[in-house]
Amino acid sequence: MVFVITNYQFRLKNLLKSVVTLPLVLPPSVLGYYLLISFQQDAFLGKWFGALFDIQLAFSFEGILLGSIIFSLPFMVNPVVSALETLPASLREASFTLGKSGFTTYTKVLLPNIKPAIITAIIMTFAHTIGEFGVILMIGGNIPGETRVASLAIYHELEALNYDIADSYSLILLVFSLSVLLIVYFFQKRFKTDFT
Amino acid sequence: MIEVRFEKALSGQSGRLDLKIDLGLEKGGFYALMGESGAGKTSILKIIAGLMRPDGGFIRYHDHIWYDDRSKVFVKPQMRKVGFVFQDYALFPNMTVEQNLSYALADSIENGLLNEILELMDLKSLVKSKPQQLSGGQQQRVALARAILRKPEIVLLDEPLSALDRKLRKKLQNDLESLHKHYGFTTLMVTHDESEVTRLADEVFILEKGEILRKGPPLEILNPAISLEIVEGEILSINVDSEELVISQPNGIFKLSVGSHKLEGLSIGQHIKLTSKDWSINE
Repeated sequence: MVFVITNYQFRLKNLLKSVVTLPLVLPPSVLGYYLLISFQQDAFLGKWFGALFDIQLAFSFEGILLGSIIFSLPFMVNPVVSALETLPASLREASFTLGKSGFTTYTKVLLPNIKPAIITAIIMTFAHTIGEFGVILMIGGNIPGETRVASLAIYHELEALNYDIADSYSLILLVFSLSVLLIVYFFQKRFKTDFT
Repeated sequence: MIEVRFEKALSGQSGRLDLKIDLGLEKGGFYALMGESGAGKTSILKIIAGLMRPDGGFIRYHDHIWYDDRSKVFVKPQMRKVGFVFQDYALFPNMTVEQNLSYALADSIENGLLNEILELMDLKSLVKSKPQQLSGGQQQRVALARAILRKPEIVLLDEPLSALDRKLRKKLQNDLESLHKHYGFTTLMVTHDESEVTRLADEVFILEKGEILRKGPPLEILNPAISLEIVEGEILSINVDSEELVISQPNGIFKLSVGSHKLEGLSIGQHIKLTSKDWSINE
């Protein structure tokens, strides 16, 4: 996706960028609703997955996995695209004049030079996915052992008035999120000193 | 012979500029391209290298067509025998000097050439260093070495020495001259430095208003003054007691001792020109 956005000029590029960024601005319930509709067994995506992998997407772990990839796309794609755009054009051009293809230039020159941005994006995407609530509830329901993720479990325990368990789950997520941010800042500082 | 004839409309901060270029470069020649900032010099180099696409015209290298608008031919930069030294050197920060240079080699069989160039450019001690650990002059040498490793037919240099001090610039001019002679490639160099052009180039092209308006041997085109001009600059301070002037000049500021009668009528901010018909040789 990043390769397509940064390497090619085409008319519908802005549309592609908008679609990738959409989960950032769209209410999770709306995104979840459309994903649920398209995951139904008689919908195109649901039917295709069913026929190809024998997988049911709606209300299943596989479904929330695919949903997570879609709603987390902007957290991965946008920082990497921005980082690539800040690299001097001369790096890409120098690689081309040295006889290297677009793909080699990408893998050997451009991506290694935005390593901090890639690591940060991976960590942030992972952390965001762990905490997602709305979209998961819409497409996965709240099935124990299948689609009940951490954030849903807190909601469930709270509804059952099990404050102690909700308390523990929340504390785990809080510590996890804080640790993730600490790791991100640690990496950013380390790579800044390595690369400048 | 490389024939370059193209049109390209550029838009920049100073508005639209229509480039209309007609150049002929003989094999093994050393050419300089001069013009004001924003005149389109870098764009000309990028178009020859295939990094930019012109709006029309053709670029021919001997019997090979690199670009032809009519027959819709556009040879990718990877397939043109061009070496490019960028103004910012464009060394890959994630690679060591050795890796930067090896990246340019098509295969490991050419390691002999790598060793030869490392030797020639005095880079052997730097092979394990990363570009950001090198000085400007060292980075420039690596960039030059990397550009010629693919045995290009033409080397394009975009103000390669502009960021270096005078002493280093002189050394790199020598390096450039010996590499050009040793490997016999055609060189086209963008520069603002008239002394560099006079020293290195067989022919200079002057780019004005998007066209090459003048071309020829540097001494004819750059038209040096008849008298030996040492300096032309602005008076920064006048010290009557020590009979000294401080003058600002593009290369820096300097102090000049003069007789008190010469100071009469001078004022700070005045533009003066000093000439001499005498000299001594220091090296």
